[in-house]
Amino acid sequence: MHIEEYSNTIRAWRFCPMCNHVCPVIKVTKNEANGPRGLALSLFLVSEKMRQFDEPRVERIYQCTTSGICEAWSLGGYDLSGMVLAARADVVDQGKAPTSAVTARKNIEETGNPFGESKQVRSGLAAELIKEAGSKKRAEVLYFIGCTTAYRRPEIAKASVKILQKAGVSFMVLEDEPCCGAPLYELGFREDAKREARNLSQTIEKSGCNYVVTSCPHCYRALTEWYPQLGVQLPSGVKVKHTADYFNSLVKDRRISLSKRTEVVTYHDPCYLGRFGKIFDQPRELIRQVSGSNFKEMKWNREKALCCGAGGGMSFTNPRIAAQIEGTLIGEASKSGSEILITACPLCSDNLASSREKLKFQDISQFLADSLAS
Amino acid sequence: MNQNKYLHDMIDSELEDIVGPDGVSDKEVDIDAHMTDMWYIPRVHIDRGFEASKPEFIAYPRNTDEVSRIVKVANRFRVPIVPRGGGAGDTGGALAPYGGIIVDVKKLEKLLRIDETSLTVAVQTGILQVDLEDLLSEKGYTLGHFPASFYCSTLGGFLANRGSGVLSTLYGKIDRMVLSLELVLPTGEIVRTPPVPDHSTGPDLNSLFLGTEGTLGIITEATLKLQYVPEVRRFTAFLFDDLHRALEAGRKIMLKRLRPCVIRVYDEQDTREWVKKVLGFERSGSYIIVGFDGPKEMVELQERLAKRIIEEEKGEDLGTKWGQQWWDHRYDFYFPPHFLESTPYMHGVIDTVSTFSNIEKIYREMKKAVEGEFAKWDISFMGHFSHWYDYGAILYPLFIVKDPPRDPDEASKLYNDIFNIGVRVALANGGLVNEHHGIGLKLSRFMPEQYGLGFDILKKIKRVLDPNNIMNPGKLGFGGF
Repeated sequence: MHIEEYSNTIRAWRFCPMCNHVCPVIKVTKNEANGPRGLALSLFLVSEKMRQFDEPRVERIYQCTTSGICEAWSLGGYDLSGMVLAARADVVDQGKAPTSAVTARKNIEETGNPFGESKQVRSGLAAELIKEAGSKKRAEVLYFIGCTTAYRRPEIAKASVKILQKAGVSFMVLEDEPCCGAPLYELGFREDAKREARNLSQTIEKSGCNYVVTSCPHCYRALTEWYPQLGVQLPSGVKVKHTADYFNSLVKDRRISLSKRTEVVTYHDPCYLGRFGKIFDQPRELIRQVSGSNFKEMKWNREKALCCGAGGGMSFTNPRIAAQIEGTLIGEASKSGSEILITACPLCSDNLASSREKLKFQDISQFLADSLAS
Repeated sequence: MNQNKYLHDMIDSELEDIVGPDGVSDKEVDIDAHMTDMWYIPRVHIDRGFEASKPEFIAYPRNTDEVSRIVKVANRFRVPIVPRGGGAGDTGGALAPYGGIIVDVKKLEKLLRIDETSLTVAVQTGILQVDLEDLLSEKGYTLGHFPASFYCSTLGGFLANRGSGVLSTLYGKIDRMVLSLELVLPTGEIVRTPPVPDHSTGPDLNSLFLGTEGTLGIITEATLKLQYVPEVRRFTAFLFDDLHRALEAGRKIMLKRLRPCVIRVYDEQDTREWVKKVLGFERSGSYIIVGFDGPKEMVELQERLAKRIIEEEKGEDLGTKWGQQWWDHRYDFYFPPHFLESTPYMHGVIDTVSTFSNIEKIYREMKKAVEGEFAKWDISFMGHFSHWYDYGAILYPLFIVKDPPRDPDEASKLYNDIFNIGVRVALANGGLVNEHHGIGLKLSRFMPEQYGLGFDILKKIKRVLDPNNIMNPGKLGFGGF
């Protein structure tokens, strides 16, 4: 079983309640079965063959955002979110994945996106972006849109392309962009994720690009961390960058300049970009270029930033809990006195958009595109 | 459908009617998460592949009225109620040895009001201490309650066990912070104690319920005394050649009416093992932390006076760096990999409290007895003295058996035998069964020894208030279900 690799983590945490307080799911459900101790104990019982992956147990395993916030608060480098992802892979191997996860997988297989929406939506957006990019077949940069951006937050892609254009970057967009496989990995479908990874890797190779730039931390994590784990290598020499990182280098190289703005803003570190990607400084440097001292940190930031609730496949499997978690983030952002909450993940933006709480939010690409000096 | 199944489903249905479908669970995965706290006995059984005792339901009430209705249902069906907060106790107090309903109070987490004139706060008791302190600190206030389980325990858990935080030497045990309580009695009525405790209007009703571990009701709301976040809080570390001189320094600081927020005296072995391991301090002797907080001038004056006492007792000033190191890393002791529950070791804390006349003797006698009696288990015994009063101090002794029996029943017997020896040394020398972890199941058997005839009074009160004995049966020395 995949969870055998995590036996140290399971043993260390099966009786320890110390990180329950930061678990975004427990904050909503109050159910101890959702926290690090509850999950580790549950998996211990399964690994000792005292329990099976029955439906409620599987449900709890999928009620985790894999935000890694529990790891940020803990000591000793235990990989609790890795443990949960491994458990999901075991659940899938036993054919016990929840219906919502199976639907997302089927959607990717049939439509190339987990939402099950028409490929034409994505290709239409791609065509629009390609027109802006100048219809190149080869370019220095491949801007990878990603499923959530394409189907839920296309304005992020449009803003990103506007910045690339302004900087005079030679870039291209795929006409028929596939899923990167991140949702499959997060939901436990590792073989399917591997298939998507191979497919995208080959597509990148054919493109001849030197950089893959994406606005999505989930795509970014898949390409940089999970592909190698799955035994899929990107073409030699190709670097993967998140837009926050890449745009910051464009500013440093003076390829774009930004004008000052007066709104008070704050920044939310997306879990996969910050805690897992360690990209904390670059988005802040960018925002400070625009907002200076009007940039206010939230109380919990960087390694200990709150989770928006949408990660780890929660937007597919547990949208109601995801939306409730997101309310906590908006509350924190409001306390900072900010007028705009900036994030750098389409899943965060999508979840924020679904909230009943009203706070203006923007992806960092939108914020920068609106701040480009003429 | 058999009768048991019928009753189970009826209770489930009634609970759901009160708290909604998301507010109750009888799913095995959720039940599993509630079959352990941090007590050794369930842990060793689970570790060895055995089942631990379990509730039949977990209910999540959202307000006091729902707690009351749940308790009434439990009375009607004659099923036990076990209140639970963070599940971080180490006595089995929040476990369900007789099944029944765990009433998880974590949805009762509202800060209701702050009286900024009197500096008090009214708050529901399911709030995690870390969350309460966060809310208070945003307004410049503090409860001053920072126990080891700060992150994972609820206010209700502290009130039910009369817990102490690491700064209790100044701020007091949690029960000393209480002005008034709201609670649900074992028969479901909701009662409020008088608005302030310092009166001459009969006995203090708060004291009847504080520390009763859910056996006499569920505390749902408390009004507590706040303090301003201090202008300065500073910790200084000192090193003594031996424990006795360190304890003498602590005693004199307290008796000369200084008011440190912390005095923390580690014995030589604790210094050698845990202080080194977690804080990185590598010298031998007895390591102590003395801290003060409050207005800058008062802190400076008290530090000067305390240092004079410490110099007289030949303590070496290690400076604030090592004191701050302890404060910054005080919770590290309780996270894996330092967290002993993560290891295969058997360990326990036989904490007790007594007067200055007795406390060092209790330490030495307990160490001698435990190390002597269990030498064949290569037991290690160390201690620190971490909560101080103006008459005495706590002894917080930790024992570790690195290679306990494989069989969980044998392991449990050894564990209980160690407590039998340790606790009885405390009792024989003027100490109490426990200082701040509570009694739960773990120490229930010592309650009659502790109280003598006084325990009959407690039992009578229990019988009157809880005629069906549904409230947390088996805990605090009261009878099982």
